[in-house]
Amino acid sequence: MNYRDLFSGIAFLIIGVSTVWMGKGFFADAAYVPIGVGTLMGAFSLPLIWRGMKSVLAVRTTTDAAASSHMTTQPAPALVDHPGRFSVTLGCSLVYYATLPIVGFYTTSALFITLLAVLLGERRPAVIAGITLGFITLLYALFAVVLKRPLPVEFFLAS
Amino acid sequence: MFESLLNALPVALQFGSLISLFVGTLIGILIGALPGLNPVMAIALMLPLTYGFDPIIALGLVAGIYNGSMYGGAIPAILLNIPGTPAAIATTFDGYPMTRKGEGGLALKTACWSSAIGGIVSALALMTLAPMLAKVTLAFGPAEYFWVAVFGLVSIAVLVGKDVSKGMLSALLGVIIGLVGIDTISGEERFTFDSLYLSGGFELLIVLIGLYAVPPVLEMAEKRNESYFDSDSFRAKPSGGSLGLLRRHWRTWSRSSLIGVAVGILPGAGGNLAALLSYNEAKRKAPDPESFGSGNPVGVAAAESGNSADNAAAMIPSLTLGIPGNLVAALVLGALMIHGLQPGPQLFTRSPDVVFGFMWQMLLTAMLLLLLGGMVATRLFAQVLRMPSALLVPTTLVLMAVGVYTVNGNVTDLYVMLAFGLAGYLLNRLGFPLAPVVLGVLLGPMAEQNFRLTMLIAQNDWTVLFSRPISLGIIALLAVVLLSQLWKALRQRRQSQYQGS
Amino acid sequence: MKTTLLLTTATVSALAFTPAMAEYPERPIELIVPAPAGGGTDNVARMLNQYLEEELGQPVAVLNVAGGGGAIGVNQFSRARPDGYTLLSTWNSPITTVPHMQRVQYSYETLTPITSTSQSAYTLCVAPDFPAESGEEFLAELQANPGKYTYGNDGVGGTMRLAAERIFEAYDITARPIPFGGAGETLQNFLGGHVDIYGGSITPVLPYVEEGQAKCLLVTSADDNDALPQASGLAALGHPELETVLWRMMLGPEGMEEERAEAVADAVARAVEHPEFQEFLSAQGETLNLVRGEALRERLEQETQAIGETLENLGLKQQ
Repeated sequence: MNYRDLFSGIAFLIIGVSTVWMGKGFFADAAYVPIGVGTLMGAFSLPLIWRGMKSVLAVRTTTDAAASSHMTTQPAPALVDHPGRFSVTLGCSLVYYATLPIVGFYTTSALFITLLAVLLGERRPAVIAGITLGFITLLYALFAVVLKRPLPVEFFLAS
Repeated sequence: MFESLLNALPVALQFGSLISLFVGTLIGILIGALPGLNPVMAIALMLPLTYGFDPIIALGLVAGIYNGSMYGGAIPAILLNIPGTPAAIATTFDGYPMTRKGEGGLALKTACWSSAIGGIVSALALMTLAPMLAKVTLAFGPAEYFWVAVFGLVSIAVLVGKDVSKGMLSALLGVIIGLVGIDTISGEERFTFDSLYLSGGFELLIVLIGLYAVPPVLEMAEKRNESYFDSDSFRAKPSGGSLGLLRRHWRTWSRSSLIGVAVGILPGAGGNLAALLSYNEAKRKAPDPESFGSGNPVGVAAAESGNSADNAAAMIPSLTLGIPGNLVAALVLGALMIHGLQPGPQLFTRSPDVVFGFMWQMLLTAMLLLLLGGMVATRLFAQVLRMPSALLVPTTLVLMAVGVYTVNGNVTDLYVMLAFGLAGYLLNRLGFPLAPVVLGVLLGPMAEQNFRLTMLIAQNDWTVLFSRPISLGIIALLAVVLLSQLWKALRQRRQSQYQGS
Repeated sequence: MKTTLLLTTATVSALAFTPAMAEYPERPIELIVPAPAGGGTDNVARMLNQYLEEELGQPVAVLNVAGGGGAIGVNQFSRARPDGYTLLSTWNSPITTVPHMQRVQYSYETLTPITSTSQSAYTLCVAPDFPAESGEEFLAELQANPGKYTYGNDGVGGTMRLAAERIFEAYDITARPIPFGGAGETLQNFLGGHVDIYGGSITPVLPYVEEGQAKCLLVTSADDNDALPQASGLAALGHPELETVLWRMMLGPEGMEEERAEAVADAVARAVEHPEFQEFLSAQGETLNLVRGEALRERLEQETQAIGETLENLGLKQQ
């Protein structure tokens, strides 16, 4: 918890300072708000950094003292609960966005749903196939038939 | 005027009009429920189909889609934390926590009733007060708009939560996000890093979907087999049925509807501002403000009646002055012109049947929401959550992708959405509230632009900001809100000291 | 990088070309409008679209990509496949003005000219108590009071602002431009008395002229405008060369097949013949104006250069 406040405080301080830095270059009245906002951001990040530093120091002294007596400090909630599934979801999404314009919307989406569902641990083929097909059909009916909204064209249809 | 109003009732009640209202409302709910599909797009697509018919049929369709989509936007906001339209952002604050507690059914029902009530109040304002309110619209110049934006920004003080510096940092981050792009007044590029994509600035809907909808999907993916939603999500029935709802929320509804109408008559302010201000006001007035954000139905009621009350009121400047209050209003004006009706002050005298008929239609479709909303939403959409979460994750991601893609037809928007999603996830975990970010994105640029316009017009004379009566009124209101908040905080501190000693 | 891009473009268009050249279009077409839904450009584009769909025999879907004075939409459009299934319906400013002021990925030289469609003038209007009754008096009053009057316009790179500044420059006038988001916003601030002069398209202000709440004294075309009898055209003031009008056109991405461009231009030429469309145009204060192919490119080139000079004189041009 403590390191987080410290680091997020420092991150915001950096954003604030660079906002002011870049804002100074803007033309006359276009610069007012960027400079003001950047300054305020820097100002509000200071208490966060201060608080973070204080508690980091406090934790260090207590852990030093408590090292022998096995006193446990409160663990902060994890930043990411399950890194594996988190990165699988992210990775699949990125691949999905990259293939979308090449392979076409409906094909890629169907593959994406199937793949991610399997990777996330769904093991019933009938459920996966049923929901995927149903969902894609619904989207097709809505976007292609009713709204006539152009989505990335399927590779086998592109001319 | 009231005579022409009554004369127009049979026009709005004729068969063709009723059919188009019914169809429009149904389409509207569906469109609103799909993130990225917005009423503007739907109306623009449907209008050409009606050119051959009577204008009242085209307008019925518009009225239906418009009101329907405002409620429709609440459905994914409540069920999946995805704001279907930007105006539904405040609905996610309490709607989604309600779903996770197993009260999704109640949240949807509350949203439906609130939308209907807001829409009805707004339509009544349009019918009776339009010419008078139009004068108010004209009295608002850049200086007044600036103060409205400041008023909204100050209400951050209510939204920030316990940790003031974190809340303020969130809000400032939002303002910086809003500043990115070409400055409309000087033409200068700000924070674009020489990227052509950034020179256009961030699309509001993409930022909102990223910040709000991606984090819960990621969390859902991480939790996979453990139950993410409360198992019997939709068994909960509101206590005392619809009458109970009415008794519970009438105060919130009347307050939020007034706010919605007031924001609606200002062109460009929009339903999202109406919803946020209503939400803040409800939270401020509530005896239990700390329960907001963790599934308080009053929050849903305030947000939904606020954004729906914006709807018909936004038509006031367009019908009476020919100045479109938002994009839907602009399309209505376009539709009228295509039918040979010139918008502007003469519209009321030259084609009263059409204008007043349209007002009746706005009222009727708000009522239709009660019938269709319950039927479509709770029966159909709520089933989505029964999907196994390993499938709900990818389908939601596809839905968001198609929604974001259709906004501009640009694939880069998808990566941007995901980046905002990661930022939202991180901010969440680090204890930074997200609501102030939204307010900053929305109101920061509005305050800045109008401040600079004021200064341009007044040649840098600061006193104009404090010399006009409406500005002073808003400043006074601002002072009242701030002082009462301060007073409350002081009293609480004193009380806790008593208890402590 | 560039060669691969060129190569892919070449292969794509070659692929596009071989199977069914004669049958173009054989699937729905996407029409990018670089302005928000409901605006003037959008209304005209959608109205024309109805008849264009009939003539092309395929649905044409309008995609509004607003922002950056139109540059955002045109940038996105310029990256589209030049297979004729993505077209642009725009007004002149994003092509001839914006590239002088912002970095863009296109120019009049790269985009494929198809056809122009219609044009209209801008107008300058004042409140009824303004001390001038004609275009000449209006300009004299502005001349006599440098920096006193504010005029609302459609933004820094907007054609309206440019049209006004060209006239003001010739008359040695200093008026203070206030950049609003569009004609609607300008009208709101003009009617509310927040700015002195309305600068924008004719249609929105027309009802107020009839009501006597506004008097329009100047139009930015050479000819007078029938709808605004009190306003002078620039020819009547002896300066027809200062004309700056708003005109609309359809363009294709770089490297679009000429046959396909011709096919679209033919379809547009037939579509504008519909009497309903012509009625709609005249209600909007617009007149038909069809210039195709290379002639259109020449028109774009001339205007780009003329505007470049004006902007340079005004100190608005950015490198």
